[in-house]
Amino acid sequence: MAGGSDPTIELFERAVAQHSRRLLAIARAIVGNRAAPEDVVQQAVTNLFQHRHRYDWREPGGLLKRAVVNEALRLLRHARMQVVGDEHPDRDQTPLASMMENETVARVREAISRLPDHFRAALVLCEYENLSYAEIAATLNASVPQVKTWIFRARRQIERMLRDYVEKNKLGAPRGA
Amino acid sequence: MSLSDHELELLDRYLDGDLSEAELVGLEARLKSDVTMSSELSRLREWRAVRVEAFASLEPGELESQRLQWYVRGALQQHRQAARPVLGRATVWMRGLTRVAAVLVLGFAVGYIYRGGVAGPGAVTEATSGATVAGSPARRGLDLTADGPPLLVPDSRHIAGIGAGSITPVAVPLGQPPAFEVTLTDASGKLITRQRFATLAEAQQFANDFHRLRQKQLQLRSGGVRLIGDDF
Repeated sequence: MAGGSDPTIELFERAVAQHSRRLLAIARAIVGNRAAPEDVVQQAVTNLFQHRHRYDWREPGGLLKRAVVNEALRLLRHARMQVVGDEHPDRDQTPLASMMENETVARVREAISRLPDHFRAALVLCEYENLSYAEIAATLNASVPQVKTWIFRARRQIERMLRDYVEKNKLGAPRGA
Repeated sequence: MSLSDHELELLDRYLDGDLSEAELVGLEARLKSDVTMSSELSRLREWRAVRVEAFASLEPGELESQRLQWYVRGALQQHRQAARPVLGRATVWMRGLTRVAAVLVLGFAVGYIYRGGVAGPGAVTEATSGATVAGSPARRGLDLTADGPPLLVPDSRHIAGIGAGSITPVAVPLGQPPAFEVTLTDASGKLITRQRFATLAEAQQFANDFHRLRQKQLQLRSGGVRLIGDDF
């Protein structure tokens, strides 16, 4: 493969430009503030670029998203080994961002960030990316029943974490209340 | 009355679009008659909408997106540049080594001939003589197939001026194009080189070039210049 005009590079760059916003959102949702999401995306994209000839670039969105999810989870596994007790990070927000953001959304986001990594990744892929359970299972190297369990538990944990807030603000009757 | 985990899972799967046709029909019928179930579905739907909004709120703005693309482009560029010099370096090294090897081989060959004391000017002029049958002593120095059909093997002859050099027609099966082999040996009979050519003219050219090289080396040496091959 001589350098010059490699059509894969062009396809690759176009795909990154097209999906960059969603990739960054996925990375953010999974790593929270435990790592820079830009670094996650950058690393994932570079890894993919190194092996670009192995993949079919006609539908690059799925490939890129899968790479970002895996890189984010890899980074979190690595970080956990180094940073003990970093299980409940708080999002540091600028005052302006806090003012502008809907409080409920902010609380939900905070609750999501406290979920176990795989729960969070599965939930993002399910609700934000609208992937099927089978696709999520393939992305996360897990079985479909495992993915269903993760998503189910993630939803219930978020509800439990926000039960007080919901009751106080009458946002919706929590289960069993 | 609260719902069981199984019922909640069913509602989750309904919202995720994972129910089979039969499950879907069953659930929709139940939703019409079961108020608890339908209000729970509304609640789950609401929560889901908030979560999707939370995820969407993580999307970067245009500026951030541009910055990310810039980062990625930079990383890819770096990656490509990092790959390029490795190849470039390898090529330069390979070229250098090839040149050194070529000079050494040439010097060695010239020096070897010179030390062999092959004397006298002159050039290769002819190379053929009568033919004998395969298996005769004329086969010495030639690479022939041992069990082939009878081959025509013309005898070799020493070439004037080069001492132990000869051009020998190579034995080839009948009907095949001819080949000629130049064999150069030093004064003690040690083989210096053996090259095969398709035509007699090419073989002569090679032998003449070799001879000229040897003469050049003689001249250089008489002028006090030492060649690499002299030390071998």
